[in-house]
Amino acid sequence: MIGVLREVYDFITGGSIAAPVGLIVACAFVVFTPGLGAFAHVCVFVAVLLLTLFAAANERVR
Amino acid sequence: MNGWILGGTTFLASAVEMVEAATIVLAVAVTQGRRAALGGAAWALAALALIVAALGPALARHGTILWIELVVGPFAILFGIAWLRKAIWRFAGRKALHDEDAIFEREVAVLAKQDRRTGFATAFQGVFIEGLEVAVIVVTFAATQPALIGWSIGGGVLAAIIVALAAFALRAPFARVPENAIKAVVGVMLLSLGTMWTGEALGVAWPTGDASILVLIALYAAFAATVGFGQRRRA
Repeated sequence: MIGVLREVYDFITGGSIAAPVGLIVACAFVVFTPGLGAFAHVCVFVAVLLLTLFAAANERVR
Repeated sequence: MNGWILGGTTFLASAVEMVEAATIVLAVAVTQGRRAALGGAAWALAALALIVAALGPALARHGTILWIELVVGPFAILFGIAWLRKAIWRFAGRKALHDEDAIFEREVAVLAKQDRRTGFATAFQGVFIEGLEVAVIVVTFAATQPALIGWSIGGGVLAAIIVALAAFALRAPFARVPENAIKAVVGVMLLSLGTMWTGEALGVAWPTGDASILVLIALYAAFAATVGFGQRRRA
């Protein structure tokens, strides 16, 4: 069972830890800061995803 | 949303995955005959078509566009990051480039010792596994942009047909296809589309509407290139 879940996780994320964590952080920021303004949302949402890509690309090679 | 962006992404994603699948199918054809190779590949393509036909319209039927974007957007982001970081690693020399000739030789050596049923299963598995990610991409595109479903499916199918015809004509693995560059482009496209859809679903107001996708594509491509060159210099 754990093996199957691991396969599904690897299929979706490519085995990255940073990618799902960064995605959750980016989404949570937008959801939990409704009064911040549209421009701030766009900037932070994209910036967090860029940081996520950077972190994922710097993970150990699989 | 421009049909060329969706169709182009599924075309490139399908092309690069089908090139990898063609290597396996060719190895089966060389060692165990054309029938096992084509049979396994045909059944796998039929299974993938079934997945797209069943899931695409079902997703589109059961939910508003924002809910669909909220489901498929994160998938596109995660797929995009996975494709892009692999391309960065290969560009930087941290991971070996995909060598279709070497894979072909290895598959031929293994399959030469097996019976014909193994050849059928290997061809099926090769095409199905390589094509599954493309099927998921096509389903997500079709669900998010039902009006452009023809572009999404057409791009994927067209690439599969071109690769199949080329493989049949050449009868050799595609060693010269720039797989890594294509993977990088697909990664950027998936990440950009995923960002757009997830943001829309969460209430992010993109400054220039759908045209923001072009800004996202440029931004992610430039950032990925910077990271790739940085890693290459350090390696």
